[in-house]
Amino acid sequence: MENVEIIIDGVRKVVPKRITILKVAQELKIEIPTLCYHPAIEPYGACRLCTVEIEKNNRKMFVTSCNYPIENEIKIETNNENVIKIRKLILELLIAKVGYKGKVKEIAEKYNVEPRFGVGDDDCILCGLCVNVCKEIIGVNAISFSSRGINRDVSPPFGKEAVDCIGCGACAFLCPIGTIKIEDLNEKRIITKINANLELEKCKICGKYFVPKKFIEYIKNKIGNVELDVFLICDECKGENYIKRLASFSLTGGKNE
Amino acid sequence: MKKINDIEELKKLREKLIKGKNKEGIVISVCMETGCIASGSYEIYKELLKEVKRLKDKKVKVLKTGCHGFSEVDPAIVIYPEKIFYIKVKVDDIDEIIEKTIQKREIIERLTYKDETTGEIIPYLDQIPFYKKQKKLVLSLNGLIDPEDINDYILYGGYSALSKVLFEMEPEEIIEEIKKSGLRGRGGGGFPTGKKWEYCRKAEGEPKYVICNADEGDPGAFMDRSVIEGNPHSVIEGMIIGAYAIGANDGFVYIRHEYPLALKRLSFAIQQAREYGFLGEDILGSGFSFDIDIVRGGGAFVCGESTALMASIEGKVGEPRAKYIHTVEKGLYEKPTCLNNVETWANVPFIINNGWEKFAEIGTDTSKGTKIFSLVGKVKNTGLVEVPMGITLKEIIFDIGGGIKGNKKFKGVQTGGPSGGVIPEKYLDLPVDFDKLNEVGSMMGSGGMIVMDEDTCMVDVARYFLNFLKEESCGKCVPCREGINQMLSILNRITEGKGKIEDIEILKEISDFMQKASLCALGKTAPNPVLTTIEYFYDEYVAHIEKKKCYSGVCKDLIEYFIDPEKCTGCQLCAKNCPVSAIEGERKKVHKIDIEKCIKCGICFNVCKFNAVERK
Ligand SMILES: Cc1cc2nc3c(=O)[nH]c(=O)nc-3n(C[C@H](O)[C@H](O)[C@H](O)COP(=O)(O)O)c2cc1C
Ligand code: SF4
Ligand code: FES
Repeated sequence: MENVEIIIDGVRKVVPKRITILKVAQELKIEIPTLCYHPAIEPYGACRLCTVEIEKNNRKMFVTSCNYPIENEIKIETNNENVIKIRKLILELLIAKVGYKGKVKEIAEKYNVEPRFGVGDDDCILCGLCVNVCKEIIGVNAISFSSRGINRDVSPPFGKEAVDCIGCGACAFLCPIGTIKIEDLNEKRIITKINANLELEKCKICGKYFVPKKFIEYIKNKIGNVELDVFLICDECKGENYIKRLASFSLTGGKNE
Repeated sequence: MKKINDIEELKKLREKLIKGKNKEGIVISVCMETGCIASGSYEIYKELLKEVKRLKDKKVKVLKTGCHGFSEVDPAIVIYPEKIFYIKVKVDDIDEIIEKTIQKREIIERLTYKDETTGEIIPYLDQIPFYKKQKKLVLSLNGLIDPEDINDYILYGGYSALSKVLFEMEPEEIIEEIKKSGLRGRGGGGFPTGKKWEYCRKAEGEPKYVICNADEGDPGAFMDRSVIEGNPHSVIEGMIIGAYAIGANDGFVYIRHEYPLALKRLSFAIQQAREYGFLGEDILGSGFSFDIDIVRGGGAFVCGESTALMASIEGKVGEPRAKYIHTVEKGLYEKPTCLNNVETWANVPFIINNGWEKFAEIGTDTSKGTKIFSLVGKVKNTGLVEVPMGITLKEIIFDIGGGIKGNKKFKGVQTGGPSGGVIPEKYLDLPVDFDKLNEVGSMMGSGGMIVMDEDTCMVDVARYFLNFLKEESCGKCVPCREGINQMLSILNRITEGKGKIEDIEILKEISDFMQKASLCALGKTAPNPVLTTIEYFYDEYVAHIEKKKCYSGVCKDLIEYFIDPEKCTGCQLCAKNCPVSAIEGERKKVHKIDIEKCIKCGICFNVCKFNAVERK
């Protein structure tokens, strides 16, 4: 692979071409805050919190580090005054929208943000992690963005119910401000915000309801005739039995027995 | 229609068409575009057809054409060869037109354009001030050809640029020609077209695509619609030439769905071009193949942005994405893609036919050729104008536009669509080109031009455009979505008299931030109306904030109406017209406005014959 030489926060460094600035920074343990980025998902570039200032062909500009692919020799400043000013204003605006919640609160405190535009109480910063994980990793597209501009929101189809949702919970796991939550009650699972209702299946060992039927169905359809028992045991019962169970599948073709 | 297999056949067809044309004597051209049809031109066209048929004179022909641009006087007709221009024509006028003008070659003064100040009668199109300073390159055939008849286009030299490039030029030569012409993108950014083609040609990856951006989302703009409705083949020919130069075999026109007539004419034109073999396999026997698909846009302003547009063609949500890797390298379906605006494509045949020198001799150092503007607002002659780059704002507004309506004073002109800036009087002598407009904080955009008079409140103007963008931004990125929202709250407060002087600095701070941190050009340019009004009309912001006054009388919370007892005659007209009965007073006695009830609609102010109602 081709390499390029860059200067990041004053340090000279040779990096592979087209790597993103964020990845380089992470390798160097330089901290850049992010809200809409996840390593498994295509960078979305919506929150702009990861903005850094670069100098390219003697021109300075601001770019988002999560999706900027390094092509030529550039100078990067990840934490200068200008960058901090931008990040602070982003955080102020987000607090004006949703208030002090989850990761927004955490980062805002680090940056000593004093909110000039008030403290809002919307439930969504529109980072897109839920929508994108459902689309790119799970392949279900149960939820999407609705409306444009200031009315943009995350919602199930027609704002009603996430009928296609399989209840995997990836969105809840990634939501940075804890809006999307999984609530299991006996044989029912509800996922808040996206409005999903699912029937659960029992654990094969302890008999507790724990996994959505549709999730099992979906896995079955996608990866074919794999022994599904592994998905049918709850976390608590996994332990000893879990390993035994896994061993019984002979995943390695029995060579290690 | 028979397929044209080579250059010879095309030449023969054109010769035949010219011979036929020479036999015609009088042509009555009726504009049949969305705007003109709305003003009644279709009824006039039908009636003319009927009456001319009755004449049984083969030399008289009625032609439906593209727009002459002068919206103010619609519906209008042009009678060739003299180019007699009749305005605001009614169906009832047609008998007289046939009898006097068509049969006896007499001018009907009643229907001609009259100069407002001198009262002079100006019967011929070319002598009317609205047209005098215009230069029609792209719109040159609007009014001369039937947009639904490919033969009309061919008659006037259509598709000769295509045959020239296919048989006499290498792709690189075409690109060189476009580069030398200095043509820059007419869709907003002003990127050099030749360079874009070159990057796309050199980019790795197959297949390559060309796209025509006909989204035209700026409110009040109808340049691109007019080009497509008036001369769709010029766009198609431009695209085929571009595709050949770049090495693309597939093209798309992305057109907004609110343009049914443009869509119909374009589909029709593409169909005819296919039948003649200008589109499809082995065009004119050259071995080059290319075809065009039409994609209908959903009508969101942001879908005009290049990456949002491409996402939309792919069937995805129309929102922008990062362009760190340019679309000429990775565009539609991640393949090299060349996107140009309607007007950009339509300029191409002219450059190829006449050579780059002819094009480059028009305009300024950095901006060549002409630009179409839709001139609207408080100007006397509204309409579509095509002017040479470098013409001054003053010439456009006062010479072509005829000055400000109702003898009011000029206050500002907003160029470049909703995220353009407002340019004040002191820059009226500014030559209009890409860079000059940028220098004063505005932009060319796609060619919107809104003229504002003294009754316009500039804080309200800034608020108005942000209000539009609030709904029209895609909402993906924080700076644009939330920045617009906060700026709008501040502007709302100022117009309500609740602003603080620090607000002005905060507006500037958010603007600067949006320019730096937004994802796409919508967010980066959205602050322009705010920044330019602060820069050029600072006192007005201060008056709203500190004096709680809106001197233009627009911001309702900051104005009061009252009756001057000295002037009031007690005629009761105001009281009769007040929609909320806020005015009391006996006949022939002084009237009074109840401030509590008054909704500040200003009706009394407008109806009083004695100027007794005052606003402060
Ligand atoms: C919000 C937004 C809206 C736009 N709308 C249009 C449009 O309606 N038509 C257009 O041709 N270009 C529009 N553009 C510009 C396009 O992104 C692009 O630059 C242009 O189509 C390129 O063609 P050109 O080089 O011929 O100008 C828009 C840009 C932005 C940021
Ligand atoms: S700048 Fe505005 S329109 Fe552009 S991506 Fe961001 S939110 Fe969408
Ligand atoms: S993390 Fe890069 S834009 Fe959100």
